[in-house]
Amino acid sequence: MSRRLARSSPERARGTCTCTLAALALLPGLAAAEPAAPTAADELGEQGVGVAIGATSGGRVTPGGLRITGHYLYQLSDTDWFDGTASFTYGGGGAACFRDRSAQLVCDHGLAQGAGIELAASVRRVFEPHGGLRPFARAGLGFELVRFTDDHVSGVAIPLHLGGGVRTEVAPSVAIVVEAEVALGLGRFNQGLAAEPVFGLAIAAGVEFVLP
Amino acid sequence: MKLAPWRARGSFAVVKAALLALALAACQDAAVSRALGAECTSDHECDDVCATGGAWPEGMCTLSCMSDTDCPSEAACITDQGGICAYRCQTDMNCRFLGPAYACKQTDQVMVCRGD
Repeated sequence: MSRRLARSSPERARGTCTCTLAALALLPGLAAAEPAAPTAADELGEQGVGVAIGATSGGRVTPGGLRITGHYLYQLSDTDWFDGTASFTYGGGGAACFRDRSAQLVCDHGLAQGAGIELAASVRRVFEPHGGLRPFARAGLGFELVRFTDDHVSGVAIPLHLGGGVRTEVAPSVAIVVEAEVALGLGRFNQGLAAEPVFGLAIAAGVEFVLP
Repeated sequence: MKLAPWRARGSFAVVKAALLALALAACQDAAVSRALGAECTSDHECDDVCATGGAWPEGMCTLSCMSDTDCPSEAACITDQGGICAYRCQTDMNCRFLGPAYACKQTDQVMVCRGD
């Protein structure tokens, strides 16, 4: 019996061939039936909003400390979104400015001192997903009002922002975002301080919602 | 895209200026601070006290002390104004960073920078 089953015959060969052809014919249909991977546009939508909380390092005349940022996203192309942000930075107090021996005011604030409010306009480029994470890069320009209360020093800064992060959807229209960025630029302050460079590093995590 | 030579030179000059500004910012007078050496007219400009009067031209931020251990390593505790830290020195040149009115003088068996 087993010998008979194992024996090859022209009918059996024809049957095998027919099954293989049928399977090959079905493959494209099967592939089409699988759900297509979501695009960046599917995940971020045309418009979105978000909020993130994190920390930013300051120093000298750059405020640092806790940072809360609100985002507004607007789709520009298949891969790019306008990312408008409003940020509030709050660090501790403490005077750190003094007059050097030429009577020039010098400020040497720590990593988490001062306060700042910033509006920034950036472009966020979204890349192909890796696993469940969708990486992105961001570049933009900001306008920040800076204040060091204990030194009565205030001014404005124009920082360039360069950063990147990852985004993962946790529910329909809801995503968690983790981001890091560097900001560098120039500031102009009162109390006779000259134009000073500003520099900061920031990390943040937040949540984003696609607007209907 | 290839930049015209004058444009390339211009970009390079901007980068050089930015680097120079950052270098200057990083090399600001590090010898003085709110704790010791900064100019002042009142205590609120300093971490601790502002030493004033003829011995301290333009005023000098300093720290109250009872012994040398209360002062930074570059300073000694002297009995002026109830005990304050003053920069140690060996020659007048060591005191030039405080201004032309400062010189290296003996006080309490130690040489320190002061004005009178």
